[in-house]
Amino acid sequence: MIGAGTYRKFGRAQLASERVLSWNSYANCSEDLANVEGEETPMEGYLLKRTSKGFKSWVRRWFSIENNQLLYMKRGSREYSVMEEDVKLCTVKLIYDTDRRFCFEVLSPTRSHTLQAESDQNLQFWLNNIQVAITRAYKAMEHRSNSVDADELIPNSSSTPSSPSLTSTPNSQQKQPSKSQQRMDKLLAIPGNNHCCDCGSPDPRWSSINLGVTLCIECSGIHRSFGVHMSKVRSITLDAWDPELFKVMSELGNDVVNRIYEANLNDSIAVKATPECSRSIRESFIRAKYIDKAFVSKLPGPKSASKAKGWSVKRKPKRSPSKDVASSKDNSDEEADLTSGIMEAPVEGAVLSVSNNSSRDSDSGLGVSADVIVFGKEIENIGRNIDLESSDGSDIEDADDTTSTTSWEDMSKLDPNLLLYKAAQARNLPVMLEALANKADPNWVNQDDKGMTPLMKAVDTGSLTVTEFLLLNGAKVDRKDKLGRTPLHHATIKGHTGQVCQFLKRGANLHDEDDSGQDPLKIAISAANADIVTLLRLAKLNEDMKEDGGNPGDETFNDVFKDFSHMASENPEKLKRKENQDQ
Amino acid sequence: MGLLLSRLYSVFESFSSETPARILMLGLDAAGKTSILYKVKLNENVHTIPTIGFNVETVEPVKGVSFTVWDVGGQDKIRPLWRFYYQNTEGLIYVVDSSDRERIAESREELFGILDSDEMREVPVVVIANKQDLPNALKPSEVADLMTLRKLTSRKWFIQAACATTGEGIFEAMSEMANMVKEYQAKSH
Repeated sequence: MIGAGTYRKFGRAQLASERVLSWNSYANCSEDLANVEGEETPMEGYLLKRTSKGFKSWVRRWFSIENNQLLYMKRGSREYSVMEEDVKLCTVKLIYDTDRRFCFEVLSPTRSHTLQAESDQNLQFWLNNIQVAITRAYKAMEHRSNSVDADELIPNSSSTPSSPSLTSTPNSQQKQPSKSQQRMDKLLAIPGNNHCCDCGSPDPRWSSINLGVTLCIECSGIHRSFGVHMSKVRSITLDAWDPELFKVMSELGNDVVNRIYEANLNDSIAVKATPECSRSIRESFIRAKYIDKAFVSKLPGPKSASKAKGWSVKRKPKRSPSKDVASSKDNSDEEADLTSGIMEAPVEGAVLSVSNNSSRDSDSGLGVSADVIVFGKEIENIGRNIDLESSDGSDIEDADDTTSTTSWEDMSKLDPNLLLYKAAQARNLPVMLEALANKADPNWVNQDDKGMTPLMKAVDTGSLTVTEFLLLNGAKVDRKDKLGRTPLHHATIKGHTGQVCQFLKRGANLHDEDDSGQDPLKIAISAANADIVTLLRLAKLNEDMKEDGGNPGDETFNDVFKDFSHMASENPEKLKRKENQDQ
Repeated sequence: MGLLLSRLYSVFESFSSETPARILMLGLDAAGKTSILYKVKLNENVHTIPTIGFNVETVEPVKGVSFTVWDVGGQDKIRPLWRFYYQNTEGLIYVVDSSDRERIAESREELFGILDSDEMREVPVVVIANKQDLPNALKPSEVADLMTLRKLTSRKWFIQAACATTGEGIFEAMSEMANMVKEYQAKSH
């Protein structure tokens, strides 16, 4: 490995890199400020430039940053020369090993420019401004559609700037926000999401897609260091988002998640992170919060909830493609629930989202007015104010689903695993998250229900959101129930095209046969489900091509796949109609 | 004999001379590129945040060998910018998060996309199967299979299991890169 001598030699460089790292975040902050104030401070002034040709002499030039370009002007000239065409491809570094003071370097993939500022203050001005310009250029890029080609991103230097100038860009965007901008706005409008879930910094741009929260860049760095089994971090703006991810986020968000993960904050375990706190405080807090789950409320034990006879989970109100009708129906459902007599006294050591409710559940059969703990009731009320993404593809045929809660279970059976299972059935993501926070196993097998896993239960509901949430949180696609059926079998049997896509995307095995010797394709063929047959055949073709040494990840395959999953997410009724016609 | 000597000399020259070999380091977001870069540079665990743009450092991972390593951010929408860094690249370090099984196919596609480029023709690749310390991490042989690395016939490639936080495997990856770059330079000169 690198010897101690080498290490010492790098001492200075280390300093430099640390400064660069901190500039990055500093630039982010100042950029946010600039955004809020809508101000455009001019970035121009004199710098000394070391010539690149001949004798390395120093010349004084007027520099400016405009249209994401770094420009300079010779004395007596009236026209700018372009030093760097796109600041997105630039970085700035301090230079220490020189006899001159206030020197820095602008680096791009192919060139390096050595510049000298006039004073320390002037040096900071330039370092900061170039960093701000870079950050700004990336932000401008964020707002464009997902499928931009790189050529569009980098304006050609020879032509007149094709992109609008910095000052006009925000305006034109406000007039016609791009799809990704709209999504970001929606995402940040979810309660709590406009501040980092862990430290409270404003304007978070990052997200943990499996936890369903938004994060600042600092906290996202810590989430990333834990590994994807804990937290899967994506940029809200710089990463492409599948529609399912948005659906998951729409049902969770920082407020909901913090009511679970920060239910019992405790300074003696870890001090809550703040926007300006040190890295070590931030890290210990995030570790305590998500890995140790130190602030999560325990589920009520048989003792603490002795009054209650049983428990159930509040169902997420159904949303049919005809949204308006559905939501008005939901309202009446909700009111009926509310008037059915909530016991005001909360459960002792109240768990988030639990409320006592006298059961009007038909499952209680005898009409006994037993006290039943209903998980996820409060949360449902929060969620109702959010403009959720369109239908989640739920298509419920279960007669069982006509009630607003799941059938109730005995208190002795209240454990995280069964809670997760029932919450999946109820399509209630907050309660699912609470079960996971209480260390439920996403691959738990319910021996009392045909050996099914929560994922198979999610298939029954038809919900892409529930399925995605489970997949993001470690549910395996290859588990089999007592009949030897995988989730892919279940989705095929149910004719849930969107979920078939989700499982195939995760590499579900196409050849698994259930106990009666049926593989998914056979099932789809005998059900004459054309869409699913197509998908399964395509997946098989792709697999064969891989084995033959062809080009896996064939574009046609990916395109068809994408089309199907987008349709399943955004216009599930189209797939529905197709199915009906085909049958 | 004379030819061989002069060739050896030129190889030696290429490393001892002022210009370090140009190494590009790519991979999906959160694969560990920046952590690896600063582990090599400082032998320290730098706490990183996502890279917007790029980092570049001159490092001397092996005695007498110096690299300029370009570490470019890997978020989905900024991957189209990768190609602006291809020119004159003499070695590619491709970093994979071995514990992110779900995105291994995506990672593979990006790698093959890079290697398809004309500018990257015959450029040797070291794939670093990073994050071996995490539970459920794929073994390097599994990473090689899933990424179909055996299809890379027209160039030298190597896969190295590693863990950037402990530094395990990083030195091995770098010295393999050094060997491959030497060979590449000898061939192209």
